[in-house]
Amino acid sequence: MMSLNRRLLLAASIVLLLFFGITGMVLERAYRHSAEQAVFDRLQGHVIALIAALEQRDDSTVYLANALAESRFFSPASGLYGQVSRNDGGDVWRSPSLMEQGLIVTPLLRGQTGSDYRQLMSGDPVFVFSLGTSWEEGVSFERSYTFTVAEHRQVFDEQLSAYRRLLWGWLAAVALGLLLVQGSILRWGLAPLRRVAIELLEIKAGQQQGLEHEYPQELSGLTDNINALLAAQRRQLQRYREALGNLAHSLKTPLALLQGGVESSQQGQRVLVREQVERMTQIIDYQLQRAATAGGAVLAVPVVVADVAVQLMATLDKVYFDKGLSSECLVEPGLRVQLDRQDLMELLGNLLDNAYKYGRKRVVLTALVLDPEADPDDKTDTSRVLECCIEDDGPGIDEDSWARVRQRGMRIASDVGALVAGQGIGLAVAQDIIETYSARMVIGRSRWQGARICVCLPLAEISE
Amino acid sequence: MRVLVVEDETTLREQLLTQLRQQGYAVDAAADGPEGLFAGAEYACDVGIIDLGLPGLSGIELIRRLREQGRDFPILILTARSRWQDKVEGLEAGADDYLVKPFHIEELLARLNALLRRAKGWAQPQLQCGALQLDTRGQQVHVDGSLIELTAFEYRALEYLVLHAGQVVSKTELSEHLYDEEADHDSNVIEVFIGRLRRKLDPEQSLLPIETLRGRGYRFILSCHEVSAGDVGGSI
Repeated sequence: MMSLNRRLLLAASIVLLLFFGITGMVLERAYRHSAEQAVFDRLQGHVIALIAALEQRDDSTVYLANALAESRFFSPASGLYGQVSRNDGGDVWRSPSLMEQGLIVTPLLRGQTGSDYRQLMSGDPVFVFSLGTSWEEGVSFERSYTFTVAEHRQVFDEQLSAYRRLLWGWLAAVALGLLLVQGSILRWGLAPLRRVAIELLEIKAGQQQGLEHEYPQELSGLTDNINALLAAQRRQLQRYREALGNLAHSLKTPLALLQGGVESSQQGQRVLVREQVERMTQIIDYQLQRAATAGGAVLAVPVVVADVAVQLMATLDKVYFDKGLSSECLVEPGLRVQLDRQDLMELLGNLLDNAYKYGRKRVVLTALVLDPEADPDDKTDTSRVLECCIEDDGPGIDEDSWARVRQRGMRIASDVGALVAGQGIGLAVAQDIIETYSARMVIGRSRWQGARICVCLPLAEISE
Repeated sequence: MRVLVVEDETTLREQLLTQLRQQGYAVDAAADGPEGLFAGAEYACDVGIIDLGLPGLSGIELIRRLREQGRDFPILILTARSRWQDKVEGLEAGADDYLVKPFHIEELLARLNALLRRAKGWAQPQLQCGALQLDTRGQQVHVDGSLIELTAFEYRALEYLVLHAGQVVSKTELSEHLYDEEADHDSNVIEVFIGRLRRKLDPEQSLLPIETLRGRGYRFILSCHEVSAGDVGGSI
């Protein structure tokens, strides 16, 4: 979609161009009209001068009786031409500048004038002005003449184009200036919107908690609401977790008591109650885990995988100290994923715990950035993913229990006790977290024939 | 072996006390953080069991303060929350293992045993000391392959001496680690008790595993090594 800035700029530019275009055209026409009028006025002056200078002979020819002030009539092809025609036929006088070319003249009656554009026989364009007049011949006879003066257009055209250049040049310069001013006004006016966008990116990147700048009145409604929404989301997650934690605490202590009490009762009952208590515990664990998963929160703060992995592995190294495992964490320090920190901790914690539990001598965690091009089937996801693989050298995971974990919905609450002890619940929790983020989990064999569990997590864009 | 239990839930604490005492442990109990801090700092604890959700001072903070005071006995944390965040925080604060509630008492005892062993540098549950074999997991003692019947309390005493093999253990130290603050500390009781242990382990007086250093205490003199799961009963 076109940006607001571009829309406003485009609309304003079109208005500006129309305005200047029409203004320019009107100005040009007006100038042209008055310039032409000036030319014809001048030509009329020449005609009157001609009438004053010429005298009629008795044989109806015309001669130059007085000198003409305008010398251009006498130099050949000077651009100013004069001609006198008798209305009953024949030219009676031509200015020397005409050089035997005749002007085609429409005979005019006394007092009539005519303005026109013509071409000379040589093809030169000229303005032509004619005036009809009559001279008395004898006592009662009047002979009609048409006086014509023509001027070459060249000078006029040059003047006009000089004016045009000046006019359009200035108009364009002013228009450009206005556009620039307008552009900067828009930038300034829309700057708060851009700042909102930048701040939202920073929130997404985890560099700040909400929109911190002061915003103009028109935007403050929006930004205040965004802040309120963010705060509400955070509070809600917090509340969920606290409520669930409290639930766990309040349920589990009685369960612990029950379990303790059973230790000293009869054998048969002991097994039954123990099984049930265990099952209840697992259900609580699983459901709590499910509910506490933050899921694909839009504005989750990206988390550094290596930090979480190192913390978890240090913990597990201590807990499984007796096994004397060698554990390795091959994750580059800067890699971050777009996951809630606790979700990542639960995910990797459960998978690593299984690896430590079932591995004999080795546990390795590796992380690799995968480009989306590498997987042509996956058309929906265009962002890059981080593939985290956890490998051990234990017995591996059999197809059966894995298939059961994979079944969506999987009635885990009732089925969980039947899953392979330990391995099942950890995997189910991991699978559940993975699904909330629409990510993938792949189970296979490690290079030591143990389990190899890979999860593909959304990679956070590397900032800095 | 002396265990510090810090748990605010009275019934659970009482259960733990009873069961641990049955196993021959000396137990000091505390109901909240400050009390736990006092007990942990004052008494000669060999291992601590600390609940994370304590009133007064959180379990994590309690562990951190004990470690700051230089108390380095192993600590097992109990938590109602199975979140990894809590486990990681607990172990980073200085705990050594965790157990999520509810738990089986057997599981708890196994973890305690492992922590006690580990604190003395032994990774395997089976220790072979000359003809004497100590199974810390099953809490059994064999001499030349035959099982010796010991009370839980006698076993703890022997275990303490074996885990400190080669070191002189004074009567006061031994009584501190075998009795909690409720018992009276009479050194004659220890002498009588050690005599009984010697007779049970070594009726013919051929092994003489426990030496008496007059005025200083006792010393377990057989040298021990770990028996890995594969070669139970193997020789030195």
